Amino acid sequence: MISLPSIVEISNLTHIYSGDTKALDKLSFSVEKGEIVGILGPNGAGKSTTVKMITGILKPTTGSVKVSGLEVSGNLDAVRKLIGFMPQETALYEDLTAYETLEYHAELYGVPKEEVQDRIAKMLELAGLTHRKDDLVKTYSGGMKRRLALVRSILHDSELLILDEMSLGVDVQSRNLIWNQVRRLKSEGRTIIFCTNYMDESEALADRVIVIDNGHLVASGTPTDLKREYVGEYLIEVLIEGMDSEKNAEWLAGKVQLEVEKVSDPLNGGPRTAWIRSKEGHADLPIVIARIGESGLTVKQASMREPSLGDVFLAITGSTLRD
Amino acid sequence: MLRQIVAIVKKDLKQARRDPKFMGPSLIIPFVFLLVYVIMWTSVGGGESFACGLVVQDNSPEANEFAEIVENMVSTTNYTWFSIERYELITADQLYQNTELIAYIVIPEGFGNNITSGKNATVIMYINNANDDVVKNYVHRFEAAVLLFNQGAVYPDFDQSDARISINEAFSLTSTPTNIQYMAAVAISLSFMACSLTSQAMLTASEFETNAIHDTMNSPTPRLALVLGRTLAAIPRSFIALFISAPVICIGMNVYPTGNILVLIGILLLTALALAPVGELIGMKLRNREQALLASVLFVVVGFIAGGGMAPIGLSPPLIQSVVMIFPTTHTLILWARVFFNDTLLGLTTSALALVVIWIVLSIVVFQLMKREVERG
Repeated sequence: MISLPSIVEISNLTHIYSGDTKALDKLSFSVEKGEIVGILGPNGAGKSTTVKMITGILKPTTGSVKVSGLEVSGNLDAVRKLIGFMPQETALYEDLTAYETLEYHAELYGVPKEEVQDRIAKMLELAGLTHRKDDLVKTYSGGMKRRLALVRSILHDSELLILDEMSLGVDVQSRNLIWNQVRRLKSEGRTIIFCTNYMDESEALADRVIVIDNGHLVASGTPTDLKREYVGEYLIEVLIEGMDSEKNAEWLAGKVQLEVEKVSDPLNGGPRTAWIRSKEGHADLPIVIARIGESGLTVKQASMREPSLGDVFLAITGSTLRD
Repeated sequence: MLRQIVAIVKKDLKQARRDPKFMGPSLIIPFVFLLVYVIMWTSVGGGESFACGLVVQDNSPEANEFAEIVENMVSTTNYTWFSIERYELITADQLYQNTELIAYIVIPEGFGNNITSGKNATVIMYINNANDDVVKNYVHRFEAAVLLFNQGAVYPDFDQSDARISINEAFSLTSTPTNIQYMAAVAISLSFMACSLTSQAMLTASEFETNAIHDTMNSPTPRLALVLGRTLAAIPRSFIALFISAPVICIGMNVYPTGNILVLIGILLLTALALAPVGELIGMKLRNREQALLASVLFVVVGFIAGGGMAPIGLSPPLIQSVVMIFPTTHTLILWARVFFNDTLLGLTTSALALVVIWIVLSIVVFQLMKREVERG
């Protein structure tokens, strides 16, 4: 396999906020050119801090961040020209129009004067905002603002695009447009790093997923690899009648000879749902139904699904609530 | 860098044009102050009671007679007379320099001889206040003392035909305005200061409220361009309210500047520079346009009053005087009042330099704070 050059190299990155809060602890990973990498993690895991380090907003306490071979902290302006950043907040000037917003951005990033108008027109087209280009941003919906923020971040033709919660709070149509734009950018050979709390977004877009928790890198790989490694390939869901409260997940696992993730405990004492992990999937399903039947219980319903990235995420980071 | 500066200036001015709420206080506050001031001075009357020193260097009977009149004269008007205390020249001058004495009168040696020989007799009055009716109050008292001296303080008919001395007043300053004239003049600068500060504070608050500042701060724009762009945009924006308030006040109050208009504009320019980082600080900390508006109005009003807008700062205790000198508003008022009523460039250096220093120091501090806010955001 040919290894592509890394566009982002992070090594032993540590950041301590004032008050001794360690946001990142010796984090290391790299992103190859042309890759789409999704950064996942619970709230406060260190995703945004990582992104801020790459864009140069925050300085590392220790460790190093390189973009296109340039150390970020010593080459801030050069690195910023290489990066298109869409922050979590839309961060738009409400009293400017979409056209003026893009024009202002083009001036700040030094887009060649003769290209400014064409590029803005193209970006407005991509965002589906050409017909509203002269309206003030404060009159836009959340989705329109997000789309504008996205095209603003690519206006200066950045090599690396960093998107922090790209589809936060937008409708399905806008999300679809944003995803399509991300795919299009990937096909143009751009590198994209995004942070998200939406697992389906990572699954749909990411070539590779990095999971960060408590400032540490806890998992990295393609979505398929992570599913295989952390959850198993399938999740069998069965609705069982006659399973009294004394029979728990452990008991059921003994009967079906498979790992039982959990068993529901309905308050009304009705049928209970069990989630069973299976590597074989289709082959295991009739066996599970038969073994439950042999135990004197009745299977009312059975279904099977491939594990999602959400399952992976919970398996890695646990289900404990975070601040 | 020039391209980026121009972009920032254009963007800031567009934003100000589209959200001109800052014009409200810039036009209302000066007129409210003017109204209150006019009512106050027309109903209460001018005059304040402050310590005045008396230095008698001549031992002649005429000098003693004149000094006693000055010391013991009782006001028959609603103008409050000042108290008089005798000092040696050195002490009086020291107290005057420390602003513990608002004025002192010197009856020099030879005063009596000059009167008896029919020559001009000079009495010198130093007044540590050139901006309101306090001057007039002191001069009135002095004039009254001369009248009483001439008639021996006993003649009821105030016959001046055989007056022993006549008054020939000479002021070192070309004019000393009345309180209301002074107020009208400083109201113009108040309008400017309110416009400058509120517009900057609201703009910055809006940028932090929407996090739009992140886009600018995270761009490859040189830091100097950011500071210059934002400051340059503050200058034309600060002058907007002045196009309305200045003609209305000048025509309405019949008060027109004596000093050089270009110098006055220069003072306002320095003021806009010094207030820009203050506005940014307010906006950055409050992150809400309405709160930023209120806070900047409060700052301007307090700065205006403390800085000598309503009463000369020379009248406040030395500690307070030192504290108010850190406010840019104080220096603006000092410069503005001086040049508005006198065609002079003398005595402007200290306050002008102070405004420049305030601008540079605050710009550096505020920019660092902004960077930190964006990092935290």
